[in-house]
Amino acid sequence: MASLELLLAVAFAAALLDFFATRGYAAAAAGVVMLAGLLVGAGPATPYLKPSEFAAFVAGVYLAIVVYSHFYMRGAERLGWFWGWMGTFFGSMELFLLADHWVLLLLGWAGLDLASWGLILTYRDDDEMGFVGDGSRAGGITWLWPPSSSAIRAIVAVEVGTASLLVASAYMAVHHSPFISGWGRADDVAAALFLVAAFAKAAQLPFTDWLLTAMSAPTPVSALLHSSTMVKAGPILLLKLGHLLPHWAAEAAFLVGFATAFAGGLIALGQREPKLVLAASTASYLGMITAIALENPKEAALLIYAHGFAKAALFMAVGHGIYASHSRFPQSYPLIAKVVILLGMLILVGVLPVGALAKSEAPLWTVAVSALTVGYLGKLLRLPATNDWEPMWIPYTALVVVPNFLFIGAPPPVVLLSLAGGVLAFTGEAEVLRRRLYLPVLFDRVVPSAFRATWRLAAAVDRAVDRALQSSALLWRLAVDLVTVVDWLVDAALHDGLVSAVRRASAQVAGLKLEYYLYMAGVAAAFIIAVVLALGIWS
Amino acid sequence: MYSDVFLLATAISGVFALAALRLGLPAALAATAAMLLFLVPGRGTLAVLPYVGEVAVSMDFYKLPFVVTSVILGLLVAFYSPPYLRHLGAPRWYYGVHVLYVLSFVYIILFENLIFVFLALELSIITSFLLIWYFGYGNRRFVALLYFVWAQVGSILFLVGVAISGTPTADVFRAAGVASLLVLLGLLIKMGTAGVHFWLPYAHAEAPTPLSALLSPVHVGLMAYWIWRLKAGAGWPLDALFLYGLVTAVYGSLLVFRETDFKRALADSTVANMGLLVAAAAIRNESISYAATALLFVGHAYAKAALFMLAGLYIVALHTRYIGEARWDRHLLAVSVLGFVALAGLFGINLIGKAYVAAGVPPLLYTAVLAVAALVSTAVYSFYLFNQMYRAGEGKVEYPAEMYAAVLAAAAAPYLLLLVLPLWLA
Repeated sequence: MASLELLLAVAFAAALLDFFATRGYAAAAAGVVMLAGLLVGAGPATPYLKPSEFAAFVAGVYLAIVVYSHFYMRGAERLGWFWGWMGTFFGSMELFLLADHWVLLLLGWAGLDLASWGLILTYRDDDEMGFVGDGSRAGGITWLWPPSSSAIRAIVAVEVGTASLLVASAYMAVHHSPFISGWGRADDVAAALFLVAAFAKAAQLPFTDWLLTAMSAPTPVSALLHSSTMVKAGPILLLKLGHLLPHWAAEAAFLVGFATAFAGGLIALGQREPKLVLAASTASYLGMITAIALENPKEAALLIYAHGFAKAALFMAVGHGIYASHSRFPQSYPLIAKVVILLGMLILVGVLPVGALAKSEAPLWTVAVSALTVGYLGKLLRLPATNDWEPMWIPYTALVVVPNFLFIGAPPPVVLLSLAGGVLAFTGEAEVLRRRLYLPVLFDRVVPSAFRATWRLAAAVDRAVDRALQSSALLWRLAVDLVTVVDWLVDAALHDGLVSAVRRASAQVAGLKLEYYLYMAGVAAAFIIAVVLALGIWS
Repeated sequence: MYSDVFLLATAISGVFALAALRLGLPAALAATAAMLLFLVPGRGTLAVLPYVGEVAVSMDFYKLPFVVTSVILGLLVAFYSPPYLRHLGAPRWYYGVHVLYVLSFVYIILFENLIFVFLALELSIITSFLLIWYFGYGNRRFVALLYFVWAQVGSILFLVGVAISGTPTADVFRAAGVASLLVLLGLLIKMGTAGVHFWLPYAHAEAPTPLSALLSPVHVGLMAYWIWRLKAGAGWPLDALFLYGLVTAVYGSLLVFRETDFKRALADSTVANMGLLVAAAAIRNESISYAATALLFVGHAYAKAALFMLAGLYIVALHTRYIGEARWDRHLLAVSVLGFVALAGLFGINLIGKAYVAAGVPPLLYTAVLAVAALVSTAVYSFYLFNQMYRAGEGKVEYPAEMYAAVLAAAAAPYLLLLVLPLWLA
């Protein structure tokens, strides 16, 4: 039987193959192989991997979206880039899910960041289809993000989470075990870092806005990474580690998730670009899942499935409209897309079986989030229908229909209340919601200004010290000059002064005619001795 | 006996190096390839000298990544150089000096006697000084002297520290007080960490690019090996050194944002990465510290060499050093993605190196925040630089194939090495 290691190797090899072949057939094959392998119960051959309940779900959604992409991306440029990163995403996501070793977990997690970044860059910067925003000005920024801006926003925001995960999981690996299943309780610092990692990846407040501009990526990417799977890595991380985190972590996750659930829902109500509606909605549902992930992991897992199927289908359905109208602001949708939007909505709010199962234990406040959902999706449903039957409808229709036969629950009556949110579909877009609660100002103005001030300060300090050091070259020169002068003086004194002084002294001495004086001194001495002797004899 | 292998490899490389002074590239490639002989594992004594002690050389598992990376990058850069040197109008003797420079890297790691390590450092300084002096950019003589003086201060402080310690053999190295600090300061100056980095952006940016592609990735990083190796006997304040490394990483990353010049930006980025390497080498746990140091050294070396060579490719093809003027086609885009992502530490063995650095973080809030800042900032500047280049726009660029091949090989290495990592860690 195929092992999980082999399946992962196939996924990454397919990415490489597709990168060069630019076709996406390897992606489809890898999706089929992975799904089949997981369904027949492939297990790990090494202790580094561990089966995950989400692995088959991701493979299934991936496969549907790969099929969809074959239609949606037809005629698009940079297909090698697109398929290469799609494959990288798939391998990384499965690696993240299956990893039981901390280094593999990190490789999977970082691979997700990378694939998300790469896929956002799929469209060229001058391709209108890659833009987010309408070009208006508000809050001191221009509301238009080409893919390169969206990509750097995304990577910087999620990198905060990745760095946090690096530090936290390294700490756990050192203090407990390199294997995640061997980890013990996380202390407060590690727990806080795990939370930051999950929040950044799942676009929770205050990181939310990277997910909205991530809509620069082609629609299949939004359907796959930025709604149903990659961003789910945040709550899935919480599910993996929930039993290790201290009690306060559940409260923190609840507060942040709860706030994001409503903020995202409200933002979605204010958006005119359908992909942004769905992106904000994704943040909202990720908030819901994050809020309950640590309190009720089973419920959170079911929500991950239900939201994944529904949101992937919603994105693909909206994409069908975008594809048919060649506009980011389609004014009508194919009939089948509208049907699927309705079905997706009914899954999200918990009426259809798969959604009903997910909502069976959901807290009451989630009904309010569902009401917002009915509101913003209702706005899409109000647009007229067209008759377009491009076969791309098959995978997304399958995605909202088939799971209802696999995951079955009866809708709790209270969810029907959320349908009242339909009245919101007839409201206009409040400015503050249309401006995404001004979160982009935080991303594009406040943080960059603060950062710019910081690096400019560092650069100024560095330059000042550098200048000072270089001007100290003058001091060196002075010192050298001083030494030169002193050296010359000593040199002169030693080699000129002393020698000539000795020579002069010697000449003086020579000029003194010493022998004459010696002779005279001898004569004087002889005379004195003679006198002394004479006086001695005489006395 | 390893000493025979050492002498043989030295003789062959040396002869070819001398030949390369006249013959150029083929002899240089042969000389560098001959350095692979040094990789035979073993230990031998060359001589026992009064005061200096046993002059031993050794090649072991721990030295392997440092030496292999130095030699392979030496080969790649030599292979890359001809079009660049034609562009510079440099004579053939450049290659001879290049080979001696690569040989000095091998010696820096192979010698077990720290006074001979100093001599190897001198060889590396003199050879690189010559290449900057003759073939550098801008105010090259000023920069060459600036580099020479700082490098000499670093290596001489190291020597004085070793001499005062009285234990020039690495295995039994023990130092305290002034001796220990001098050795550390010497190594840090050579690495260009925050506060003693002022020479680095000048030297690494103004050096001829093939030299930059060795100076920045390999030369400065090798000092991390010695910090790792000597820390047990040196009594350095390792916790403070770890934090200082992280601060350097943040500081160096901030400096990158001031640059518009591709090479200067990469040079500032080296300051940041040397910070991570110092932190890696200062981790108390031996095996984690080694894994972090080796992985970061190797990953950074390949990524940085690739990007310096890419900058050089632009100098040859577009006559520009400004990152905002760098056009790309899909091939250049591919290597820049590989290079910048690895440099960012977001994937490849660089990511694992960063993870091991993270494993050294003391479990305190402020150290965790500092570590996250260091890990984020070193990643963000890479994506910032990539973004600058990406926005410069697509365009037709004509460049020599061998230059591109060398860039691609270096840029792909951090990812390919992921495949051999399980074997290595096992």
